[in-house]
Amino acid sequence: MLTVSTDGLQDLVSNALERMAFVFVEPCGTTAGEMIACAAAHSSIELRGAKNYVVTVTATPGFVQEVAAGMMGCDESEIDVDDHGSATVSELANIFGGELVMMMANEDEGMLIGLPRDVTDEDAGGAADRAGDGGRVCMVGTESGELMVSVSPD
Amino acid sequence: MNYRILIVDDSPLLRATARRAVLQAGVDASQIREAPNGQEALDALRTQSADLVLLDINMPIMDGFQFVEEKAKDPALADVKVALVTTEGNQKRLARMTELGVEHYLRKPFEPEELRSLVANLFGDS
Repeated sequence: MLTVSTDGLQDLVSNALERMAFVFVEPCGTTAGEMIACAAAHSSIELRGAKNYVVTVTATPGFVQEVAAGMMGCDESEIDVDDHGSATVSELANIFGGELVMMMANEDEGMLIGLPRDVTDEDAGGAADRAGDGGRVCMVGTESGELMVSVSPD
Repeated sequence: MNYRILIVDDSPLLRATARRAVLQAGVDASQIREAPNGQEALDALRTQSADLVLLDINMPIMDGFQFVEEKAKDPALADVKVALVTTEGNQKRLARMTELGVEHYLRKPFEPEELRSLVANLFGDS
């Protein structure tokens, strides 16, 4: 059972986005299916330890533009989602995965993080479904777009 | 001092972000180059050296550990300082980096001011 609560995951995501891209998010009521239907990209990263987890991140085009623009210090209109979608979502998975390893260090100090990889709509939907069984899902958004982060037992 | 900086990260977005952070931090950089993995970083250093490598750990082809081990075998690269810029949260792996002589690190995401402090600590000024 993942010891990080849904609120804890949401705080982790919010804090990381503020620090890395000056993006301020609020919880949103979008469903996993709605997110996947309008996603720009999905990425997963494995956390390997006493228990294994997969962190999967899905972002809409507007969210990709806002985060990438915040990180690179440019206007959102300058961000081509086709060029930056995968890299942005992969980096989010990397950052969130690293923060989770830190957060869970007390219970599993040997946890290792893998490399982010692009995944399909089906994989992202499956991860969100599995998160209901001992994992966590959080949905957050801004005026520009939305983000889904799931942590699923693997 | 005009620093020659090599940013090593498999994420093009993070390389661009780190480059921007170097400039925003006011670090006096005469040259900023990029490499997507440890192997290309070694190749770049052997072509033209650098004062500071900002190194990710988790990368394909050659990761940060392998890079540091290979760099240590090459006397020509002895003066190149290395600082980690990583999401690594595993304290044992960070301790291993310390054993390999890499004592400075920034956790992603980081603020430009943190980078400025790191450079000041490494070189005695910025």
